[in-house]
Amino acid sequence: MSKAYPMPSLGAGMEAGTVVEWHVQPGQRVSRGDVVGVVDTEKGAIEIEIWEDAEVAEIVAAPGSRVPVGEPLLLLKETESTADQVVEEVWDEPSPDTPPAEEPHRRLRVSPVARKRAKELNLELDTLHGSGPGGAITLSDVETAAQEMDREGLPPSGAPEPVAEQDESGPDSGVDRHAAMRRAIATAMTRSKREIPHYYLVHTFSLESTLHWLGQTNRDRSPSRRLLLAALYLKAVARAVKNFPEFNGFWEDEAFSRAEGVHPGMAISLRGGGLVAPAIHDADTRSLEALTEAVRDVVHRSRAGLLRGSEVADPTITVTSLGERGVDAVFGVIYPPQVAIVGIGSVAERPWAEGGMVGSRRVVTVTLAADHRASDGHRGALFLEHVAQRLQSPEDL
Amino acid sequence: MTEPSQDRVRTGIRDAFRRIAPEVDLESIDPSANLREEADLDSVDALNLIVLLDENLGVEIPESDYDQITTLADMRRYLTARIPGG
Repeated sequence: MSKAYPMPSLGAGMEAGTVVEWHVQPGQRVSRGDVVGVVDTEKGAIEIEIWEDAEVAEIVAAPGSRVPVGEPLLLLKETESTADQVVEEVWDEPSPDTPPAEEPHRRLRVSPVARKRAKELNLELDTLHGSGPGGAITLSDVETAAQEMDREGLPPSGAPEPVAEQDESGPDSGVDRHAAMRRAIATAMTRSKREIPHYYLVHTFSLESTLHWLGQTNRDRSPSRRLLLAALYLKAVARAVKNFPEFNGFWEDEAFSRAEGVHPGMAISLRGGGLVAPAIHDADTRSLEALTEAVRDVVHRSRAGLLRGSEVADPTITVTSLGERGVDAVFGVIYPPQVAIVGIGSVAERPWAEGGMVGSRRVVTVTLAADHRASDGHRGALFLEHVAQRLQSPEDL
Repeated sequence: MTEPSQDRVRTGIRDAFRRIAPEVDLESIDPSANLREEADLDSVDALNLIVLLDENLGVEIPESDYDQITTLADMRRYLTARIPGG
């Protein structure tokens, strides 16, 4: 019996996506968690995963076709071993470290901007060496290849100047993508501010013990094993929502529904403008080492335009940190249908009174913007205090 | 021997940047300016950079030395002085 593998919904407001490429072909067996292809959305090129073991019967949507959410991309044949398996745990981590056993074609990973530039330069993508994550071809690889060809007097040095914005066309051009991402952000944020009655709470506390612990922990570690402060923030928020589940879930159909797992979305700004907030899955149960690894990986892939469908689909709460840009605090706009966003400001040294004495402390201001339909300020205040306490006991995170 | 280690450091830094921030043109960065600001690196990028420099050049930069590599020129100098076989 065959069934359709539909265009997934990769977040609120997504209506359609464009197939960029397939990594599978008819007759090929695929396993749960395999990346089967890439679709282009306003959030960038997203790797889409399969959620059951099956055999690809037919490719319904050819590369280049724009397919509405829910419409079939592939037809799958159920394999015997899994015919009665229920497939709904879409949050389980695929195993990204396990490469597919057989690849019918060399799998080509290309960042969108690199694809566009290569097209402008008439460069064949499969002749390029990829230096990005997983061998992805980046803009820099394309530029380097073009320069090398220039130097060797080979074509296509006559490449035109970068095309002016108004001349851009085609669904996957960088400028269109940028504009599409802006529109997607505009739609989501307008809906948020129109529909969600936000309330805001602010909590400033000393991070001295946390930073001391982090410094001690990292002192003797090789770089690849060092912890990021961002991982501590994520874990503290993720652990806290276990006690305050009304901040972890979705407001849908006039009611709040709790999320099963804790998958904080981490707001990541993209260098060309725009942002994404991919989920860090099961952040409440993962070690700080694993979370640091996940953060490093997801930031890298966000900026290379290689996120996976399960990551962008629906984080359960968002954590945004603008502290690196030197601001004291950030008051977030909730990403619907989520109901809360935790904002983290910069760590700053301040005069601090404690036990009748004034001293100098490194402090941070953490905010909560929450949906008043789903929770009240009293619980919000307890939640923020809980986050602060967890952060101040990093050895227990 | 200084010349080859300087070259290796330059190549190692360039390769690391190609992987974490491919759109950054290192040649256009003022070598005496704050590198994180110039290249718009956040703390995650910064750690990825340190990891790649370790992988590429075999120099483990302890956190306590981060203030010695705030500019591109300082980073080159720091790495050139410590690169194995340099």
